[in-house]
This record gives sequence, structure tokens and C-alpha cells, in this order.
Amino acid sequence: MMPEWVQAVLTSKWTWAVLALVVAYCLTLVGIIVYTWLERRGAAFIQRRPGPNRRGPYGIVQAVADAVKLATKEDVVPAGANKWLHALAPMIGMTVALTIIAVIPFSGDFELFGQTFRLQIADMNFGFIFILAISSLAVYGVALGGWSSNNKYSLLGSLRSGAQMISYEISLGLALVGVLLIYNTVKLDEMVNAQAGAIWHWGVIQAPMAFLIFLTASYAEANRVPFDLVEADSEIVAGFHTEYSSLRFGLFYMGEYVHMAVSAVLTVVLFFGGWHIPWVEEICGAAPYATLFPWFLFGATLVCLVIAWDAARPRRRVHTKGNLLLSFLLVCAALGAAASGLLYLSYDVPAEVPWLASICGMLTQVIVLVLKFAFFFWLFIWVRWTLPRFRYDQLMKLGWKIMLPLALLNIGVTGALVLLGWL
Amino acid sequence: MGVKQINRPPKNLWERLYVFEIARGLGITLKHALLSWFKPGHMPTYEYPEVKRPVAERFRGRHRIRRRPDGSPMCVACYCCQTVCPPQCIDITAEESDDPAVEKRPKEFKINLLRCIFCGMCVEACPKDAIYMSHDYELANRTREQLQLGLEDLLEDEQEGEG
Repeated sequence: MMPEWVQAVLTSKWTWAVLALVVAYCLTLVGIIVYTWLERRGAAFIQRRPGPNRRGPYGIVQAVADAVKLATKEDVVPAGANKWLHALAPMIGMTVALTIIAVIPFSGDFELFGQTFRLQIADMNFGFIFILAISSLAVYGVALGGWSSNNKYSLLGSLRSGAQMISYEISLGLALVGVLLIYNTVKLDEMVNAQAGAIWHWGVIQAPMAFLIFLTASYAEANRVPFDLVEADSEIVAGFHTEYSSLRFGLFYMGEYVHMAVSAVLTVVLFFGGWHIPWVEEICGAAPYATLFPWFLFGATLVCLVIAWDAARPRRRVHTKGNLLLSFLLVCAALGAAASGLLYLSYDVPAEVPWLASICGMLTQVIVLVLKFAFFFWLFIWVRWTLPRFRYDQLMKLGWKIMLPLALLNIGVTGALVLLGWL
Repeated sequence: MGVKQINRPPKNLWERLYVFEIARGLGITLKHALLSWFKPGHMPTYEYPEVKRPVAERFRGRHRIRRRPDGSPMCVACYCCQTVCPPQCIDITAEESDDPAVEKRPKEFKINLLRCIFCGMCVEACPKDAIYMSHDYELANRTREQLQLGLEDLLEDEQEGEG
């Protein structure tokens, strides 16, 4: 019924490793196109202005224009700069952020012809510790970048970053100890599976204090507002990347987005049930995600149709015609999704084609993860355009006098609750 | 000395917990984001090249020189505007007029828009109400030469009525 080689491909661990890589790159590097657009449009909408809406449908090609602009700029290395470190610093930032995503599981275990796979690049049994170890290296990118630039503002920025990132690293690590106590494992996929079932199994409900501290500290780690003293433009020009231009600046910029993406996906994995939907097994039976797959397709159909309708409309304010090509493509995509969903339902794939069902279930889990991830990425942007920057003493006070004691208290309380068997 | 002490109202416990106030702030920004999304027409912005913001009646844009009914420039080359111009951007060369009722007319009337500060004093000074400032503000150009306006640039078009 099925050619030998198809089965060989499906049961090869390389297939799924490559797919995991694709998902990881889509979330980080390819995603930057969407993230910069989302940041600029989000900022604009919060400030009641349209934002970039010219290049491409809804202005989404703006990021490409930005990239071309950066790439064609002169790459200035200031006189007296340490050339090697100056070139190395943006690479460190990017590499560190990209390395962390290797241990993130994007889907649960799925079975194909008797073998079990999981969408995860590196299935380390110390994945959690690896994240903490690698993310603490991120400070080197910022610190070296500022130090090697031979510029006082850059140096100030990198000094701030050193103090800030180390202060918040402590709270971050300690907050996660509480999570460790609850899940009783350091493997990320086991942590996610511990959050299956009812919604109160989610980390955010079991350990709300750890979640708040983790979220705050991860904003500080990513050098995002309200903790962007590192590049506080009103005080120290642009902080550590004052002396960076062209693609080196682009690398810092992209590194920041990758860092945010990784923080967001970590938040989902640790506190928001990863790929799990609460109570899904009670509602959808033994293979819930394979059952849900066609409904996700119908959801995608609906989204495509709404965007197609919106894109076909002439813009009143911009006075442009509707984007008919885009709407046509979206309608085609919607029809395709709807047709696949109907086929899936009519053939009763979960019962008759188990291998296809488990692949579809895995894809559904990835979609669930990405949807949750999208919310937390938006939260980064949302917070950035809501909160003002901390003063330096406020930052230190929050880090050392509030978050650190709270994290320690959290460990004690969580430990006691676990000992008493309440968690 | 000179330091003004401001007594800020003390924060209550709810505000000092911080998290809830952040949530409230997030709510406010989300409200604005959603309003912009679903009611883009209510944005206080103009999609500039397509939609132009209406300017005030007294807006001072690029200068124009009115014509007489017979089409000749209304300017009598009196040098009032050139004299009053603070950045001295007006340069007039006069010649004798063919019309016996008019003594002089401008042979050349040059305005250096790069120097002009759009103060409108030339308009105030003009005894014949010949020069006025239009609502034309899109003055960017590629060369400096194109911003040195001559009489033919300044004269309003034949069909253009009294401003």
C-alpha cells in the first residue's frame, strides 16, 4: 500500500530533526520579518497611527526594505575600536539566542510505525540547565559590544547591561527553581507533559509568583522596555550599539528579536502548557490533536477568508485599490484548507491511517504552541509601548530588593507545598 | 535654592503592588490598539501623499505674483518687497513698461526659495497687492537651481483667479 521509501523517510529521525530545525528557524530568523512588522504596526496602532502600510499587503514587506537599507549602509568601525571584539559581539548575542531554541520541544511524542519521535532539535536530559547556562552568556554580546567600541556612551551602556543582566539572571534562575520543584524534572518535554489535562496543571496557575518573576526577568534579559537602560536613547545615545552600523547593527537588532522569541516560547513551554490545550482529552478522546486537526484547518479557512475579504476592499484612507491577487491566493488557500479538512473527516483518518493521523496531530500541537507563542511575543511589544523605562536605581531596587526576596520566598513556599503534597 | 519640592500623593498598597497598575496600563494601550485596528478612520493622521491636510487660509507657502486682466504682471517693480525682505532673497530688475499707464515693470523677479523664510513681509510691503503667498508647500527639489524662482515660475497661471 505504501512505498518502502516513504516509510523509510517517515521513520528516519533526520526527517523530524530537519522539520524541528525548520520550525525553529521559522520562529526565530524567518519570524523576524513578521516581528519587526508586528512591532512597528503594533506601536503605531497603540499610538493611533497607521504605521508601515505601503510595501506589500498590510506593509508586511517593510522588514525586507529595512534589511536592504541596513545591508547597503556603510559598515563603520570606529578608530580605536577593538576590531575583533567589535565584530564578535553581535555574533555572540545572536548565537546565544539561537542556541537556546535547540532544546525547546515543539510537539509531544508521536508514533509512526512503532517508533516514537518528537519535534525537538536536541533532546538533552539537562535541557533546562542548558537554557540557564547559555542564556547567561548573552551578557557578553552586549558587554563586549559596548566595551570594544571605544565610545563612552557604549561603555556606559554595556556597564549597565552587565549589572542589569546579572541582577535579573539571579531572580530568573531562582524563580525557575520553584518550577523545578513542582515538575520534578529538568527535561523540558516532561515539564510540558506535566501540564497536560486540567488548566490548573499549567505552570502559571501552580506557580504564579514564579511566572511573574520569570516574565519580568526575561524582559530584563532581552533588554526590552521597561528594562532597556542598556540602550536608553534619551540618556546614552543608543548604548552598546551606538558605534554599530550596517549589518552588524542588524545582527544586534535581529538578536534582540530572536531573544524575545526564545523568551516567549520558553514562557509558553514552562508556564502555559506548551502544546497542550486544557481538558482536550476529556473532550476529544484518546488522540485529541489528530481529532482537532480538521477543525484547525477550518479555523485557518476562516482566517484566510476574513483577510481575503479585507484585502480585496479598497482602502478608504490610503485611497488604494484592493489587493486582488492576495485575496485570490488567500481564497485558494482557504478552499484548500477546507477541502483537506473535509477529506480528513470523511476518510476518518485517525481510525484508518494512523501514521497520517499522528503527523497531523503533531502539526496541530505545533500550531497550538505557535498560537500561544504569538500572544507572548505580542506581550513583549505591548509592554514596550505601555511602560516607561525604569530609572537605574529603580531597576536595581526592583531586582535586588523585591524580585530576589520574592523568588527566595517562592522557593520556600513551593517547597513546603510540595512536601505537604499540595502541589 | 531654586529647588521646588513636589509632594506627590502617597501610593496606596494596590498601586505599590505594581502588577495591577501595569495590567491597567496594558488595558489602556490595548484599547487604543483595538480602536486603531477596527476604526482606522478615527486615527488623527493623514495618509500624506494621497490625502493632504487642508491648510489654514493664512498659510504662507510659495509666492505667486498676480496678473492684470490683460495678463501682464501686476508688479510695478517698486523694490518694496526686496527692501523689506529679511533674508534678502528677492532680486528684482526693473525695466520701462510698454503700457503708458504703468511706469515700470519687472524685467526679472527672482526669489531664492532656499533663503526665503516664508515670513510674508513681502506681501505686507507690496503696494499693489501683486505678490501673495499660495498654499503650495510641496517645494522639495533635486537641484538648488530649481529652487531659484524666476518671473515665469512666480506668475500665476492665466486661468488662476484672484487669490
